[in-house]
Amino acid sequence: MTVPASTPPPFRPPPLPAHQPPWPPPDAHTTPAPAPAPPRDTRARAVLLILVLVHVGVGIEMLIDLNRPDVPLLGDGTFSVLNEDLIAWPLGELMVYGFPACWAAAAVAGLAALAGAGRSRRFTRGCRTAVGVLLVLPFAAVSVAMTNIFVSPRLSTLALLGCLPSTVFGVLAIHRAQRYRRMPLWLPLAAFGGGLVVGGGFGATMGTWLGSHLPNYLWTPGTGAQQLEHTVNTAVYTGAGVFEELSKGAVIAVLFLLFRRHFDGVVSGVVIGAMAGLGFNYVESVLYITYGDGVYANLQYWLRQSLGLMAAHTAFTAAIGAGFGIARQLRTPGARRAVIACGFLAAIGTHATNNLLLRYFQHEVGDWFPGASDAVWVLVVFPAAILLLQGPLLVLYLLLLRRGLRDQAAGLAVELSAEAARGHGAVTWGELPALLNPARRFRVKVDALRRGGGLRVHRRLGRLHAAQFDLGMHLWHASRDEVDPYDTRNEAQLRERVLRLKAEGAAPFPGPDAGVAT
Amino acid sequence: MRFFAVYGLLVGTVTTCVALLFALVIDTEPDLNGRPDTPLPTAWPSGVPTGFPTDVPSGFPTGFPTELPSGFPSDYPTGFPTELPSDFPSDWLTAVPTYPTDYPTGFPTDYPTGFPTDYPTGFPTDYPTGFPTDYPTGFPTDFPTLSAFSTSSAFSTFPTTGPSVSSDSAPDEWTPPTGPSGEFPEAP
Repeated sequence: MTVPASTPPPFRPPPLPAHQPPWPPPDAHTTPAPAPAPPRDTRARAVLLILVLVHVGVGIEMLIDLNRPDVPLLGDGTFSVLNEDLIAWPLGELMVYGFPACWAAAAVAGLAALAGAGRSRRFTRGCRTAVGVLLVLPFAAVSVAMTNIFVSPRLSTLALLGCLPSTVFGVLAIHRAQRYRRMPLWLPLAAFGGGLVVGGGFGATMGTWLGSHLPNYLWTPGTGAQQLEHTVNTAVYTGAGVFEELSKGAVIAVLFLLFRRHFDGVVSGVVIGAMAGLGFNYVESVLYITYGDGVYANLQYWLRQSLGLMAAHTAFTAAIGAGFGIARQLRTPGARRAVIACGFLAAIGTHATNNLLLRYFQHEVGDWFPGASDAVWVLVVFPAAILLLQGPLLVLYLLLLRRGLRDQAAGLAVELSAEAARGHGAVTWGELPALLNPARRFRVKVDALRRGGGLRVHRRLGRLHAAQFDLGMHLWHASRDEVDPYDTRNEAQLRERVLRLKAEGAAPFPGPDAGVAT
Repeated sequence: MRFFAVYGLLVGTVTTCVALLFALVIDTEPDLNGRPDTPLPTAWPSGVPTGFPTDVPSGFPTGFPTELPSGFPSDYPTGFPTELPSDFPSDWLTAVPTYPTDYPTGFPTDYPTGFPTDYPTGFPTDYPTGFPTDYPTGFPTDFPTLSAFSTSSAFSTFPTTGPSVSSDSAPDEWTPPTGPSGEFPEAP
């Protein structure tokens, strides 16, 4: 396609969709000064409360196990590790000794932080960090034990390495779904790690305690062994849906509290939620691949790391993250809580239903398709079951992503146009077409690379675009009166950063035709 | 975002109801494939000990025996021996077995080396060539009649196998070459 020789008309912003609130005209645009930041202890206390509540759940399960009815023939449960005459299993010892030990150590560190509150800020900060680490440590140990690395180290190592490429692909795909402003990569990776450690550890811990005491509570005279096992498994599968989603939601809540300035809306929430789900999916895939010495390794890899990589846990937790992302833009606390609760309800309900229906399908579908070959099972039946059970949430988070990206594009179009009209130079009319079109923006960077600029220019352009989006999203939040009170940056600082990047790198100012294929 | 709130609430409510339906109504029994369930005993069978024993059963020996049981041979040695058996070498601690002196060492020196030189070379020149010409041609006409087969002498006129292709030389004329020791040399 050839470009006409005459100068094209200046860029005009696209018309706003009908659902957008009326924006103030660019000339009368005013940015309210951000409210003074409240003390940071409020957020730290909220994070500590979330972690403590997670451990309270573990403690309640331990108390229930201690007080279970004594049915001698149903085994001694997890507390049997206290009996020196029996051979203890490592996970049981970790649960019986490890958790109380970490609680005691965290309590000592917390008391030390309180005692030294007025003396040394560094000491207090160190004690708080120690408390956080001690509260996360037992879950990390349980997650490591879940990979069966101590039972079959070779198989576990192979599974960990084998699942890595697909998981990395999932992480990059989700991170790149942010087509405009992208949060720094360490934040989604923190969500991934949180889902892996806290989500995997808490889910396994609660499942172990449930399996330890539920037979005693659910046994009645005359109950057969298989019936009791079936009933216990029903409770454990339902509990898995509840506890695993609660723990992954706790990770998202912690990140939302600490780094809300990086959450722009539903897109950010979906990304963080999906990352937490992907981390949990990674450790659970290794668990099931190594189960039974790898007897179903191939099938488990296909179902969890290929077919269901972007479904299952990724979709479940993306719904929770979407709730937090939407809450970011709501003004009233009641509305925020309602939206977050809807996200949790959708995730927990779908996860529990998925577990129970998959168990039902396993022993019923064999009668529906008696002559089906293994290939039909793997390529047709299982994909159909996953689509049916996890499809609703998959559709939900994809629709939300699309809706959120369109809203971001519309908001950025208005705010960046207003910034260009102000004439500060941070955003120019010539840059707008490339900024608002991800494909053209990518083409601009590729063209810069091909013109001999190298990776340095490519990265500099990327940083410039990111800084311009930071400024645009800040203006958008300010115009909607939803600036994060903990965000100490202001409009002038963000604009200055853009101008500094333009001055330092001498990045070429792309014209209106930038990114247009010739 | 009313859309998400309504959709999420709807999905969550429907899936929760479906989960409860399956857990409490539909899938409440295991798949036993027509077999009866394994009954769980309600208590330990009577007489089975439920704990570790703390007392030694009556009659159980409490110490090591001091004398041989009844019926045991009287000359059975008790305690550790104090002397070596009579035929045991007295220098068993220091003696070193000697290696037999006549054990062959090294590679035999009389092993024939080299390929034998008197190996016949070339194809024998006296090998008959061509098809023998004195082979009877045509089908014999003097084939004995059936009645002639009744006597063994009838076989004396039955043509024998053709003359040997080596009829000009005795079948055992070629002998394998031998080495200096009179035996066929092995491969080097």
